[in-house]
Amino acid sequence: MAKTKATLKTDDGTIARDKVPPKPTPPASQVEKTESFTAAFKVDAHAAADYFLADKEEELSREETDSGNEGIKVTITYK
Amino acid sequence: MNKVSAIIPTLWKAKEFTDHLVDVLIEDKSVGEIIIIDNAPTDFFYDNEKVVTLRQEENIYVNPSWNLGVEESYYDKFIIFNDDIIIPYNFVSQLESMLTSDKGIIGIDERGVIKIPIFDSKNITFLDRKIDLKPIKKRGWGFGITLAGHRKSYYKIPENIRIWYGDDYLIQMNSKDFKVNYIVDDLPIFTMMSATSDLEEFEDIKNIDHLMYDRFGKKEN
Repeated sequence: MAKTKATLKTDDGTIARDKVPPKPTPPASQVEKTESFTAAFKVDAHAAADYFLADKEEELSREETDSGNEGIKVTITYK
Repeated sequence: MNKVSAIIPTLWKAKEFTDHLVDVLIEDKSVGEIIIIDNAPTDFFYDNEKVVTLRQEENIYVNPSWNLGVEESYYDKFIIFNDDIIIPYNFVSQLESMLTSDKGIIGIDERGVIKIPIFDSKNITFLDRKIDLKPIKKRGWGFGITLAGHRKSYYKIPENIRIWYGDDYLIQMNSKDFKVNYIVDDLPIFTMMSATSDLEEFEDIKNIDHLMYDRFGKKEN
C-alpha cells in the first residue's frame, strides 16, 4: 500500500478553537444521556427501553412520540 | 514526562469531531506526535509540528490503519482514537503513566460512551482529576473507540480483519500473554459512534471480518 509520510507545513488554520476555559470533566455516571426506541406497538418500545435501563442507575425522564409509519418512539433520559 | 504517540485513522466523515480531537491532542503535553492515517486524502491537512499525515492512495480500513500507525510511531506508548469522538482536554496526560508494558490493552467503559447526534461544544471539558482503570475479562460495547497501551502490548492485527474485530484480537492476544486488559473507569467520551463504519458500503467487510475472526478464534483457542 503506497503511503506518503510528511509533516505538513502550511494551511489556512482550519481548527476553530473556543478559548473559553472548558469546565471540569464530570464522572460519566453524572452525565445525562438519551436513548430512543421505536416499535410498532408502544408496549414493545417501552419494553425495549426497560430492558436497556435494567443495568443503568437512574431514569430521569421518559417521553413518547408518534413516529409515523414506524410506530411509537420512546425516548429515555438517564444517568 | 514520557510521551505518547496518538493515532487517528480517518475518512473525514465527522470532521468537526476530528478537528477538535486534534486540537485537544496538540494541547496535551504528553502527546508527542499525532499520526493521522488519511484514508481519503484531499488538500486538507493540519498545520502543526506535532501532526504527521500518512496519506493512503486508497482506504486501508481501520485495523490496518492501527497497525500502520503503531509501526510508524516514534514513542513507546500509543493511543488510538476513533475520529468521531470528543475526549476531555488533558486526558492523555492523565493516562500516560498507566501505559506500562505489564498491562494489556486499555479501552473505554461502555457506561462512559455517550452517543450524541452532532458535535456540541457543551461536551468539551478539561480533565482535572485522576482517572482509574478497571480490569476486564471481555470487552463491552464501545471499548475500542479509544485504545491505549505500551508498544509491547500491541500485536499486529491479521490483515483480513479490517474494521470490527481488531480490539477483540488485541484483548485476546494480551490475555494469552497473561496480561490484564482494562477500561478507563467512569470517564465520559462523547461520540457519533460509527459515523463511518455504519456506512452500507462496509457491510461486506463486516461479514468477512466476522468470518475471519471466527476462524482466527477457532484456530488460536
